[in-house]
This record gives sequence, structure tokens and C-alpha cells, in this order.
Amino acid sequence: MPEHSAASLVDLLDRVVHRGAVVRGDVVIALAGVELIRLDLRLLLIGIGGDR
Amino acid sequence: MSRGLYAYAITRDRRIDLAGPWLIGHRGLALVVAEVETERFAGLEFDEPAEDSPLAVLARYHDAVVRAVFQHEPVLPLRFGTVLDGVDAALRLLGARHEEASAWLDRVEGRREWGVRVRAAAPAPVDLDALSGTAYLAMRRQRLDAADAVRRGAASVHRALTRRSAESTCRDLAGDVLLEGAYLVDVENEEDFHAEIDRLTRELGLRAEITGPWPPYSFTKVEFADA
Repeated sequence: MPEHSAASLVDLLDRVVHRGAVVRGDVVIALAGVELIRLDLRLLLIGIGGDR
Repeated sequence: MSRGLYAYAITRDRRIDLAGPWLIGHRGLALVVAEVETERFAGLEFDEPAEDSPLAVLARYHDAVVRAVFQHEPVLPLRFGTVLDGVDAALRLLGARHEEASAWLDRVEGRREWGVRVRAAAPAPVDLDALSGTAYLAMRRQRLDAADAVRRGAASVHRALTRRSAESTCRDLAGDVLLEGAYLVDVENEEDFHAEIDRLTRELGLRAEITGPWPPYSFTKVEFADA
């Protein structure tokens, strides 16, 4: 039987941090650390399920 | 302290009360924004963040804002940590990417994302000492066959659900996960979509973990560069 589970933090971060439209260019303020977080989260999420 | 406009999503320019964040409209489109201190994003712990970690709190808030808009209008969620250099920058972005963003909003309108995860069942423990060599080999063969059948079952679930969705995507698999799919489903087809999960998992003896509905996070793979 399917289970409707509450979304885990991993499911949430996978979507909010790892997905979604990306804006680049001079309209954006670079946040110290956030690019790094994206990269490292990507590494972390490969263990859980990154992009195929 | 440096401040910027945190941008959550692009949506259509409608009157939506968000109790905090607000909309910057331009030619029928709008950016959902809130003023932030950029220092809030410094030093976030990403390595196995705890439920109450600053990253988790910020990400949940981001999701809550996107969902609040999503209740009323189609959304194009922006990636976590998108901070714009003020209202002029927001207007410039909306102006430069108007057609592209409008097309993406049309594409996700009336659809919601569902996550489906299927794991392999853990095999029952066996007392190896009690097994003869032949019985052990037979058990191994039987387990390999069963694992193979479950893998094929998970793949057929993905194919069937893909047929019932507007778009689908699979994540890489790790550990005991056999299917980690995301499906963008027309709201009027959701009943059919879930009935299909029900039917297939029962038929194949699989267990599916379902998350959703989500805003279309996994289906807005777009980069608005050099706006």
C-alpha cells in the first residue's frame, strides 16, 4: 500500500536547495557560502539521489 | 549589514497576501520577494543539517512562501539563496526574461509535483548454520531472482506513472532505493495517478513512499543568465 509520508528534510532540501530555476548575472548578489552549499549539497545528495 | 531582495519565485502578477513577502510586478509577471540581511546565509551547516538548523529553518520558510503563492497561482520556484540587488534588478530580470518565464508558468499551470520512492524490502534473516550447502545456494538464487523481479517492478511503476503525468524525472538511486521519481501531474489526473500507484504496488508487492503535492520544484530546470 502506498504511504503518504510527511516530507522529510532531505526531500525538502533536495527540492528547495538543489532544484528550482537559477538566476545568474549582475542582478544577483552573490552570497558567501551559498554557491559552496549548493556544490556540497550536490555531493551530499548524490548519496541520497541526485540528478540522473 | 548588507541587505538584498530574497527572491522566492516568479508567478503571475495577482493580488496575493503573503503576510511578509510581497510581489514586484512587471507586465503581468511578478517576483515574490522579501528584504533580507545577507549575513543570515553565511556559514550555513549543510552537512547532515538538523531539523532545527538555520538551513532547515530557512529552507522550510522558502518552501512555505512558494507554497502560499502556489495555492493561488502557478509558480516558477527559484533556487534557495537567490538574492537580488534591489527592485530595479528585479524589474530588469522580469523584463529581460518575460517570454521565457511566461512560457514556463504556462507549462506548469494546473499541475502539481508528486514524489514516489520505492525501496527494496529487507530480506528475512536466516540462520545460516542451519542450512545445507545446497539449501544455501537455492536460497541465494531465489533471493537474487526476487531482487531482480522487484527491480523490474520498480521500473514498470516508473513507466506507468510517467504515462499518467505531464512530465517525470528520476533521481540517481542509492542504497536500497529502487525508484526515486518525481512526477508533474495534472490536478484532474491526480486521482487516476494515485489509483495507479495503489494498483501497481499491490500487484507487485511493493511499498511506495509518496510525498506531495509539491510546487513544481523538479520541473523548472531553467537558468536565467545575464538578465
